[in-house]
Amino acid sequence: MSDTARMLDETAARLLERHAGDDAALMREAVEAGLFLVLVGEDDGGFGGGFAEAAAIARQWGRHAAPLPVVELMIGARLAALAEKTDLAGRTTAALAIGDAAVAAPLFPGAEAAFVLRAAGMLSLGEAGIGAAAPASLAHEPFAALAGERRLDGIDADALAQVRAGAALLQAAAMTGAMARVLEIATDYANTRNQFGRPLGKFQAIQNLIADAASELLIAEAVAGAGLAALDRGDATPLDWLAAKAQAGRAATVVAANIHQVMGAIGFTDEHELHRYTKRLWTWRDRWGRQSWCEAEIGRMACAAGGAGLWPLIADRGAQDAA
Amino acid sequence: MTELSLPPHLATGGAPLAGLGGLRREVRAFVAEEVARGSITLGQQTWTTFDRDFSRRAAARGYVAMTWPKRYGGHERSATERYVVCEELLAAGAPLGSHWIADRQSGPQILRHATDAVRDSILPRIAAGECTFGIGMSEPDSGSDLSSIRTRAERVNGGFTLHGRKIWTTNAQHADYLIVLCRTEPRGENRYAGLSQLVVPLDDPKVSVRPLTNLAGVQELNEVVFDGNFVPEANLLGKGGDGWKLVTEELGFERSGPDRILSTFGVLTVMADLAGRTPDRHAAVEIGRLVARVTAIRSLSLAIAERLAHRLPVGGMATVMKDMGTTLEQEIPEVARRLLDLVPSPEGDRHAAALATAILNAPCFTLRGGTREILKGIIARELGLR
Repeated sequence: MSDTARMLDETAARLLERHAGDDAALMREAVEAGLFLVLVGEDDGGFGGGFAEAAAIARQWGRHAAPLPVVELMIGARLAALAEKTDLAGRTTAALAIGDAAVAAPLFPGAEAAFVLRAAGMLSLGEAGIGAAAPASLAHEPFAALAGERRLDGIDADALAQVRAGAALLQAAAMTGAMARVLEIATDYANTRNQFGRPLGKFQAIQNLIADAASELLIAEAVAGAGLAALDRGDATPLDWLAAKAQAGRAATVVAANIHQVMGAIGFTDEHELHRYTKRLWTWRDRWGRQSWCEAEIGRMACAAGGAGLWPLIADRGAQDAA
Repeated sequence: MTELSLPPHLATGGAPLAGLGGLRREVRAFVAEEVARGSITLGQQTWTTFDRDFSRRAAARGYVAMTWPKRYGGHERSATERYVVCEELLAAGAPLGSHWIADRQSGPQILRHATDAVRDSILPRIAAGECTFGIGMSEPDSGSDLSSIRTRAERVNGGFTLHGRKIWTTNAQHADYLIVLCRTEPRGENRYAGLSQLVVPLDDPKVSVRPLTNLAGVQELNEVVFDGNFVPEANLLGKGGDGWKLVTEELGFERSGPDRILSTFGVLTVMADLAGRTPDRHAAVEIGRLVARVTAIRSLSLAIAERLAHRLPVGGMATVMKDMGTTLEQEIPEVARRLLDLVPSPEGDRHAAALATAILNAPCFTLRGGTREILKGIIARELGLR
């Protein structure tokens, strides 16, 4: 599977680099290439990939601060295929709705209706018409108003739970991409910007800020990777994705705060690219599992397990017994 | 891919632990016996607490020298199996101090770099839980700047005589040997050259060990003085002069294991008990944050273990793991004292005593095995900051 993930990683990176700054062209080609159908079975016109493959795309999207709600597009397509297998074409998929608005982007050219993902506790899928533009999010993503929403049922509860977990892990993967880019920006800057006659990177205080940011990212990558692998193997537990999303949120906070400090005033301007990443990170902390909500869920699980059950809760994940 | 990147879409996370549930259950049964026996108490410092009898019993179950060749008393199990046993024993609070250093780093160093004579005479005793090692790195005037050490080994007929002083050596008062980093040549242009590692027996009248009482009132650290004791040539590890390379390698083993996450895990279990089965939101968030952190850093530790098994480099990752893991170990008791209605006291009930032990030992977590500040410098270098 990792060969496919590598291939998708490279494909997504090429596409994003070729169309940097041309959102319309990016959207057109990504949709034509069926990139967002990675989680849809081959029988339904998709790629038949797992969550690790989808994570390769999500991570590249985050790394390029690209437009389009990539997690929602991939998850929406998967759910739509699960809900009504034959009727994917002609639809738009839309993001996790907040109030009456949602991030919206087409799955297929010429789409007019939206799939609506809602994840208040449990994930559900609906459909709606698309209305006027709605207030933007913190990261200025294109929100659209929805009209005449109708819930779509008939999706197996286990499948929904798996997609719910997958969405959180894909969001975490997108965050690792954005954080990796932020660290590149910071490292280049610290090595080239001179103050007091030497590069910023020579100052221990600056080194510590960047080292802490990189450390949080590495942990976020490790726990997200473990969760994705568990989900694709079919033995994930809620702790896998809750911990991954909580850690991604924590890491995003540290990375954004520390690197804004390193970059100084230029990083606070609209002219520098840093804000394109940090605004996404701030927003994504609260998407598909708010950091504190994930932590509270884990805390409830821990207390339900009690002191004696706490270690098994952590350690007895994955395929414990030989097949 | 740099050594500080683990792209999540390429992870195999946790796969190497598959099928080890049986081993976990076996270790938990052993732990239950030891709890009943009284050797395991809540909140006990696990890998520094010396208990030779416990080590003998653990060795009898095959939990020491797990990965070593059978000819040295080892069990030829996988690194992953060893990982499972170690984390189970550490999470439970087992007293591993008699064999931990030997099993974690001294034994593996001897296995890789010692002469046959030293391997044959020492390794089987470690494997039987009968032999304790200490780490002879720090000196009174050389802490973080290890290359400035002054302990020197002079060449004499058939070996060396050793002069110098080591300090902060855990359990040296119980130890049979120290692996001593020393100068075998005077310090020159390259300060990392001319250093060597010697396996030094401590049962020698020219070696004196002075226990130091730590702030928790426990005699755990020691000062060791070498006053011209003889060390045979056969006890040199590797080639003379490559001591720095060996020390760096040794620190890699020291930094990425579960012993850098779980030192205060007992206090986390106290929180999970005392917050009640249905905690309020505040308690749930606080406890959940710590459990998420243990889970996340353990994922990194496992990813490193997997890379070590495939002989991939882990230098920077192990450093991150140690820095973040030990900071978490320190944070756990501080969250507990804000969350729980519990006054830490060594003389209090088991909960209060566990919290007191954690608070009193916490300062050491981010010092031993490389201070936090040194670790962050290593990470920065790995990131290419120059």
